[in-house]
Amino acid sequence: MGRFRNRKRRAEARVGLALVLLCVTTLPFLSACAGGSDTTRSGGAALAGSLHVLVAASLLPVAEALADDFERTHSNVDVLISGAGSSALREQVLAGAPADVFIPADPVHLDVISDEVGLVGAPVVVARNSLVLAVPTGNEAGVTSLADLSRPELLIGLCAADVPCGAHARSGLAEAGIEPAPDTDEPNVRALVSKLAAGELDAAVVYASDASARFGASDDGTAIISLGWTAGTAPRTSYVAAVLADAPNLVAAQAFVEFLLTETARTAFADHGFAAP
Amino acid sequence: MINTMTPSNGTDAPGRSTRRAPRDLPPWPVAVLAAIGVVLFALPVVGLAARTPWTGLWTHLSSRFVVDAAVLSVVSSVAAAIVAAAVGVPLAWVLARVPFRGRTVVRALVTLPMVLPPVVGGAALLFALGRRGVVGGPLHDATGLLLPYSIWGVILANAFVATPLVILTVEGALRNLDRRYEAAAATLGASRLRVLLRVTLPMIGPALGVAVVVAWARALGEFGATVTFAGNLGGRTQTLPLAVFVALETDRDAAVAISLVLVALSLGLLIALRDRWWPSR
Repeated sequence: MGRFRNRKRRAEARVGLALVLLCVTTLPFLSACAGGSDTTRSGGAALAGSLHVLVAASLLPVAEALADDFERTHSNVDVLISGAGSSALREQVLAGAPADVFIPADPVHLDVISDEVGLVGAPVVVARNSLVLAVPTGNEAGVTSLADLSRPELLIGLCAADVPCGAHARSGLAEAGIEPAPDTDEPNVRALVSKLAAGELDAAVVYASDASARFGASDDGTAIISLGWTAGTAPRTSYVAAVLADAPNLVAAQAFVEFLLTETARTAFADHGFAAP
Repeated sequence: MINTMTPSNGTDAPGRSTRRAPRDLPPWPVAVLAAIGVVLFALPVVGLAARTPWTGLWTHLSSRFVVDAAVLSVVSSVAAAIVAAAVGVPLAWVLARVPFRGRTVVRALVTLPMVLPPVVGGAALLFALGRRGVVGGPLHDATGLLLPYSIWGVILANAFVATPLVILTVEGALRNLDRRYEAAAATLGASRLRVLLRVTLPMIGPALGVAVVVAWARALGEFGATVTFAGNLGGRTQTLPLAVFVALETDRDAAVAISLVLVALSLGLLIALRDRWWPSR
């Protein structure tokens, strides 16, 4: 259904909000992927079959580009990207969703998976991100700093407390002594960015990568603007790629994680506003 | 759907004789497929019951966020059912009785939410009635009224998905109605409104009851349109389905406990409906 993307259908930079909301919101209910067909564990260079990669919602814009790059060198591999809030994906993995690689936006989501499912090799940091205060283009509410997040008359959005962007936003705001007055706790950062870009929120705490992405831009060029983290050091998060012990396509999974550390992948991450590991 | 949800008007006396017919034994493929069908629907309920933390059930159900969500769910779903009846019944009457150009299109339009993914419905509502929406924008500028992120948004999203059930059910009932009673009332001098209130509505009473209750149940379980249009905030827009969704990632036991309540409620309701309004056997 909607969320499940194949690299062959590249999303254009401008995706209709309806589609985005559809994708992002229904996603957590879909098990990662239906396929699950056995793929040959071929050794050597000849990687083949489908590779199921679960990524944190904030990685979605770059994940397509990474999948394309990887498939260019491994033409027999079909990389299937599935994105949602890291905590939702964690639950999917624990529930036995067939997946090869899991890249949450916070290493804590690997802990329980490491215990209950098992990982192959040590997880590696592939990119970093930081949180920013963001407003829709135009900033009609005149938001200037994080303190504005406690203004009750503004429409404020945060990520839900259990997804990394929500957890880090809350701890960061608490550290800055700011008590936010959110009007919605969105299930993942893409849903939050969608509402912000549509102008249905005055301000939100999202990732720096979200604010730099063309994602959410509409025809007249409106999107969201980052105001940075206006109080001290911005909360940071790291994306950790892990190969799951029961990966149906183990060899390709390991190759994919190695690829994420290459210069090609670094460039893709940088282009989408992510910081180097 | 129309036919199955249309209650008998007591005029199907010939049909009753079939009750005394010898019990049919199904051909084996029918029996097998029917059994698979039952398993398909029973399995999730069994799975839920198996995961239920029976001992701490009450603790989970009485926690603050569950109670908040339950209150909001009850209020918004009842309100949505009222809206659905208030809008759906007149619309059903017009669709059933008034031939006009484009009736098919209107009927398709008003039943669209039944086939549309609810999230699409929610996004469409946001485009129409959000702060930047085509209608919501001017409305907000003029009155300061804002539907998203409020209980009004929840009610609207719920009514949006629930009303088509009322329309379909009631229209079906109206079409199957023996119109001679209405004609007789009219000949005796009753006004059109009086005929509607005193003859038509009482005659479709059972169908109307089913329609409203099913619409209410649909509203109670609504998720996609609500989260997309009204957002998710505990105590304000977080209904039980949204609470389950959030709790699945934070407090699995609480999620299962809430789910169990929703299943029990819906199942009980459907069983009651079956006995009350749908002829069993």
